[in-house]
Amino acid sequence: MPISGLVIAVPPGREADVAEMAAALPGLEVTETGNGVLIATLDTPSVKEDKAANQRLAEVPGVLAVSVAFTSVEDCAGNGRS
Amino acid sequence: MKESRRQFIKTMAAAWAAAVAGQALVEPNALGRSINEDLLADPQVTWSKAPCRFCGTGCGVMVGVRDGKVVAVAGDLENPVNRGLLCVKGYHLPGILYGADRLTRPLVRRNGKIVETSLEEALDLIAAKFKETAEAHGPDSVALYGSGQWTIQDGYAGTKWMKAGVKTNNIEANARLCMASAVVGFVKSFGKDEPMGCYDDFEHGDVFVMWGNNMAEMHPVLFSRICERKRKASWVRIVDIGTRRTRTTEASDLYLEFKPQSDLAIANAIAREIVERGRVNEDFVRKHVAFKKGPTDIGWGLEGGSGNSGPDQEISFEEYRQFLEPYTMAYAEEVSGVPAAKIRELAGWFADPEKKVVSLWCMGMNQHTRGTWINNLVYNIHLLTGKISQPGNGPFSLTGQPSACGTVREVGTLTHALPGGRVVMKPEHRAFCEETWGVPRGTIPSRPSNHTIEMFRGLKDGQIKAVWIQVTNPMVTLPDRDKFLEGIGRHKPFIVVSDVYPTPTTEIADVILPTAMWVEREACFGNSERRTQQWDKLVDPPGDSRPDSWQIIEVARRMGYGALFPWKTEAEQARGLFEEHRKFTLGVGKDLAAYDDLKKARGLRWPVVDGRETRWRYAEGFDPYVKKGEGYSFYGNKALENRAVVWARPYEPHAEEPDKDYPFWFCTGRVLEHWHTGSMTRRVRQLHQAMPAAFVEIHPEDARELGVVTGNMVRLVSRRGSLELPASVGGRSIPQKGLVFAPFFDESKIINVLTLDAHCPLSKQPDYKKCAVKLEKV
Repeated sequence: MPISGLVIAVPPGREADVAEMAAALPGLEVTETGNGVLIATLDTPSVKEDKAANQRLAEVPGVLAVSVAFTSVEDCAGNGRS
Repeated sequence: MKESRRQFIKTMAAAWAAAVAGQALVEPNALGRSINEDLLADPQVTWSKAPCRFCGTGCGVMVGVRDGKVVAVAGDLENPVNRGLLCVKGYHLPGILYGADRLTRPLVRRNGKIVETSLEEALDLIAAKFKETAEAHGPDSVALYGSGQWTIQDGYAGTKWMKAGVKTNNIEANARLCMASAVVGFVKSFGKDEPMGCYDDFEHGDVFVMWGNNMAEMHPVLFSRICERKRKASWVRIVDIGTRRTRTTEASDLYLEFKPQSDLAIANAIAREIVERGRVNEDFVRKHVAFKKGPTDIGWGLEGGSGNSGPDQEISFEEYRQFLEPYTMAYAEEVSGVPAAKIRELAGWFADPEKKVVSLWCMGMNQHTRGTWINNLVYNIHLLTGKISQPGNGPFSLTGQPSACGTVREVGTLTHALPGGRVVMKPEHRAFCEETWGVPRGTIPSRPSNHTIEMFRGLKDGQIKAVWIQVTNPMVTLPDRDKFLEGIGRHKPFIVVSDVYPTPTTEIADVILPTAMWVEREACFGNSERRTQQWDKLVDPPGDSRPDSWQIIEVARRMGYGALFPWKTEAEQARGLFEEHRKFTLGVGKDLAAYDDLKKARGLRWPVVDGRETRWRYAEGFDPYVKKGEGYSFYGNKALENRAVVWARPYEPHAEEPDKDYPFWFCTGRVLEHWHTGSMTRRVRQLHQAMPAAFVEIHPEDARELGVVTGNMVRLVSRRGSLELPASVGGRSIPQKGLVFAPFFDESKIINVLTLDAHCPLSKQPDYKKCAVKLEKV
């Protein structure tokens, strides 16, 4: 079950409304907001959901870029392509 | 996982992301955070630094290990390259180690079948075959083909084995395919290879010019630094000079969409505009610049082809001005298709003494039948305006592999090269190497043997009878691939492949050795900004996997060259190989830091003199090799009194341009989710699902005329082969009308059955960006 810490770039002034839309994604939690930036965690049951959430996050209106700061895969068996 | 641990990891993930944002994206401490190693104070996980395994950016990562396995990765806040940010490839670093089909045992071909064998038997077989072949057919009948993913230690071991042991210059690396034009361009203009600037330029520049460079997708972390600079400074401009609209175009203020090959005319038109408007930095040019011209109509390196060669000549500024005369804005518009007003606007920014300009490029400019020339032409613009070797001013070639610079360019794992920027053609360089290596004078052959394309032509035609391929996948990457495959199948050379996963290249191997990768061994990489980074072994490799350098040394010992490699353990080899290589770099302007200093640092940029790294070469106050009062010194060009060279290089057409039979340009390249041939990234489920298969991008008007929409299969046919791919119309990137693009990561769709092995006659780097194809709806 991958758990990640994300840095999401948004237009300054739109932090609140983008955070609200992003937080609607399953497993995504916005933990802090700054000037033009959201801090979020993504916690999904499987890599499949992780991938789907990442794609949907990139499509949320107002999301300019998503960077990854941290990721843990410690209970994902193998983590490679089967 | 227990809920308490799950919550702990989430808290750590959020805290780390906040710290990264505070460091990299917003004003320091805007979120009330600062760099804090305590954030990684997880008692169950051990954290250590390493550079990312993928591209040439050299991002720093913190690698988390638990129970002997890499379980987590965090962007390294203390690494100045990325300040904690990672792109999607770094995010999935743990996955590349644990693909289900990881090679773990040596394999050997017996009676046509690949079977497991012992490591001892495999190494004995390789040594016996190489020795027997070299004795029977001469040293040039064996070859070593490596990679910009070789660590510095791997490349140094390979070079020493071949040049001091086997006594052949038959060593090359795949970096010949991605940055050789930058190397020859730098050497021709400055007398020394590698950029003068560094990533700090991104926080100082006013205009960033992307020459055929989709930086947003290929070097996303560095591009984020430029975007951040633009966010903080409203006057900053990004210029995209490209043949297709990409994510980089979306972030740009000015887009120049040019016809392939015509960048030569655009660059000369910019230079002409600067000269004719009287915006040449005359003081800088008078003191620090010389002018030269070389042969023209130099051919395209094709088999059986021809081209002019001959000596270069020094010319006057007036002769250079006359050379530029035909490159009017009207001519540049006619040749390139770019409106003159756009070229003039860009020229105006270069000409403005108040604007600092950084030029950036990668394979778009280097994979070019005039790759050396276009590199020279971009340097010309910076030299004419004196915008070079200062913060925010300079030409900067990026690299695609993690140690294309540190290994291939600095160690010199190329046929003509020797460590520390030396070349086999110079007797004094050979003598220094022979003395340092303790081998007799005359050991190193005085002439280069085969560059990469010649090496594979030699395998195809039977002259080279044994080759060892490490960390690269030429049966996907060679242009006009099928002719090489056919010839190799006919002549059956002895082929050894060291790799971590099965690839189309392991399929043709007689022996396959499993390799220890990334943090499964101790080593160093050198990135695009001259930064050497060291990391320690953090986990054991699987099965019989060993470092490439260890494999080379074991074979060298079996061939009788053990005295060249006195180090026993892997750790002794990592340190010993580096420290010996470092001797070649001291005093020649390429001084590497001591190994112990690199163990402590997040990399150091050479030349490192008296413990201080160098951010801008050739400039007084920054570069310790420039004396007080000199201002600038391009000390690689001693014969020109330390002046850099502005070259008269004309526009010349490509080897194969579209015609009535093959009416489309075909361009190849990479995508964000995958790295090069995908042999590692396609093992990571998330990346594989995000971008599972290759496609062909088609301009919407061309698609309409062809009657295809996204997802329809299209057959691409060149004079060399054909391939069916699904169409992508109006997707992430949009090529210009009359040009189609396909990425090369998908080993089930070998796009190099279409490409042409034309190359720059100076750098020998193939042009994967241009050939002619026709399209058929399937």
